[in-house]
Amino acid sequence: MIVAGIGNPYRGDDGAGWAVIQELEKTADPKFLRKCRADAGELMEIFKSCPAVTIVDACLADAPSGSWRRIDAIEEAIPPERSQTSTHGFSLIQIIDLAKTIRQLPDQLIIYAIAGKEFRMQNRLSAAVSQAVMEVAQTIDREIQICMKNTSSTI
Amino acid sequence: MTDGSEKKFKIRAGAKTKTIQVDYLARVEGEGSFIVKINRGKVEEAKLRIFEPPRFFEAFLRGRKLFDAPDITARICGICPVAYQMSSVNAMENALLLSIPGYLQDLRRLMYCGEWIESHTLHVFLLHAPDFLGYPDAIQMAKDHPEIVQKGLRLKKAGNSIIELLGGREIHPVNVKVGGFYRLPSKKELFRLAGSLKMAREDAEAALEWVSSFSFPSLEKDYECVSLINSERYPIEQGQIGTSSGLHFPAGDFENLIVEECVAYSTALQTKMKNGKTYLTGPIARYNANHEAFSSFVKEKLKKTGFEKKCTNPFRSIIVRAAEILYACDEALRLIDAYDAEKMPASVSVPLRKATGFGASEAPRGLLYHRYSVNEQGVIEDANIIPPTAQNQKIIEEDLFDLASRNLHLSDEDLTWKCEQAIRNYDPCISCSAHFLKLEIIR
Repeated sequence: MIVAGIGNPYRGDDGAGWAVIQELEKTADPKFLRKCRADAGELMEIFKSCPAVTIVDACLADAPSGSWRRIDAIEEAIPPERSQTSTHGFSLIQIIDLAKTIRQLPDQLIIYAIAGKEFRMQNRLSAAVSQAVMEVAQTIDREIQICMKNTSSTI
Repeated sequence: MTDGSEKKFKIRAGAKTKTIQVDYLARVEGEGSFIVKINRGKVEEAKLRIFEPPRFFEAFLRGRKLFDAPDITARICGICPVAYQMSSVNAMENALLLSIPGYLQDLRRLMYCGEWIESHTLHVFLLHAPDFLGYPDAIQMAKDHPEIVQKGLRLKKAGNSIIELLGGREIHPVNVKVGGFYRLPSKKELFRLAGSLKMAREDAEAALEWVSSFSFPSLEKDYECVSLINSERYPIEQGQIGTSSGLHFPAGDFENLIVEECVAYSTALQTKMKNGKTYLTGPIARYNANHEAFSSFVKEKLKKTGFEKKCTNPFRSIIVRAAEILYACDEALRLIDAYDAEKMPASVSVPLRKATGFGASEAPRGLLYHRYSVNEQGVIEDANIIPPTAQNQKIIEEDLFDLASRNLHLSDEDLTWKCEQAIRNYDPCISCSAHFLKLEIIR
C-alpha cells in the first residue's frame, strides 16, 4: 500500500494532502508515503509500483470546508471537475482517466478528498481543514494497520 | 484539459463582421485567450491575450544575493526551471568574469538535456499530437493509441530522472550554483541512468518517425529567426546569439537588437526587433541555424524521414521537437559515457565585483535571456529576464492572422480549432512570459 498526498503547502488548504502525510509519518514507515504534485508521470509510476494506492488531495466542493469524503475510484464515479481550463499539468481526475485508459490503474485506488476554503499564497491550513487532516490521517492509519494485519508482507 | 465536445468558444456575428474568441486556451501552460476579428470577409485583427497576473520576478531579485538567482528564477516555471537556472548562472558568471571548467559545463548540458526530454515529450505526446490525429485531448487519444501515451510517459520519466539526479529534485531543482554545482554525481549514479536513456532513445527514434507521418496544414512563413548558434554542437546551455539575417553577437548585445513593449491586452511584454520586424525563437529557429550540429546519429534518422533542412511551417515544429528529444537522449548518453569528474571540485570560487552580466540559453521554447547588475557585495541591483514565449507573442499573432485569412472558408468551429492548433505550435508557457518589468500607476 502506498499513500500519496497531493498538493502545494504554500497555497493554503491545498497543502492538506501533504499535511496528512506528515501526520502519518509519525506512525507509518515513510517509505510507503509520498508527497506529490499532481504530475502524470509521478502518479503513473506509483500506480504501476503498487496494487493498492490511497491518494489524499484538497478539493473545491459545495460541502462546507473541512468536510471530507472517501471515494473508491475503482468502484465509484468520481465527481466531475469544476474547472475545464487546461495547464501543462494534468488534474488528478485526468490522470486517473488516463491510467484507466491505458490500463495502468492499481487494483485498489482510494481517494480522500478534503474540501478546502482558502487557496491563497500562505503556508497554513484553515482551522476546518486542519481538523479534517487529523481525521483523515487517523482513518488512513487504521486502514494501514488493517492492511498490515491482513498481509504478512509490507503495508 | 478540455473535452472537445464541451469546448466553449464564442462567435459573434453581425451583418458584415464576425469575431471568433476562445476565452481559455486548452493544452497550453497558463492562462491566455485569443480573438480574431473578421470584417467584410477579411481578417482585421488577431490578438493573443495573456491575462495571467504579472509575477514581478525581476523585482523580487533586487536586493537579493547573486547566489540566490538560480534558485529564485527556477521558480518561474515548473516545466523549464533548468533553463532559468542556466541563463541566470551564465549571466552571473559573465558579470564576475568566471571561467567554468568543461566538466561542469558538460554536467550542466546533461541536466539541460533532461529538461528538453521531459518538456518536449510532454508537449509532443500529450499536448500537441492530439491536434494532428483529430482528438480533443491525450486521454481520448490514449483510447486508440495507448502504446503512444505509455511511450511518452516513459520518455518523460527518463528526462525527469536526469534532472532529479543532477538537480536534487525533478521540479525546481536546487543543485545548480553560480560557479558550478553544490554536489557532483558519482559515475555509478550517472551510469544507472544509462539503461533507461537507451530505451528512451529508441522511443524517441520511433516518435520521430511517428510525428513525421502526420499531415500538416499549409502555412509557409519566412521567419526572421533568433537562436543561439553553434556549429560544433547543437546549442543548449550557452553560446552566442545569431539571427537568420546573419548577425552574430554575444548575449550582452541582445538588448541592442530588440525592444520590449507593453500592450494593453497582455500582462507579458511583447518583443520585436528595434527595426520593427518580428522574429521567431524556439525549435524551428534553433534547427534552421544549427541542424548541421546534430550528432550524425540524429542527422541520419532525420534524413530517413525526409525532413527539410529549413523548416518554414510552424505546424512542423513537432518534428523538430521530436528530433531534439532524440538528440537530447543521444547527447545525454554521450555525456554520461564521457563523465570522469566525480573527484573534481563541484564549483569554482566566486570573487565578487561590481558589474553587469548577460546570459542566454536555449529553453525548450526558445531563447531565454537574463541580465543582472550586481554590486561589490554580490547584491543584485537590477535584473531583466526575457522569456521565449514573450518573444514569440507577435509571431503567434501573425500566424493567427495569416492562418485565419487563408481559411475563412472553414466553418467557425473548424477555424477556431485550427487557430488553437496554431498557438499550440509554440508550446507557449504563459506563466513564464508574464513578467512585467515596470508598473506605472496613473491617477
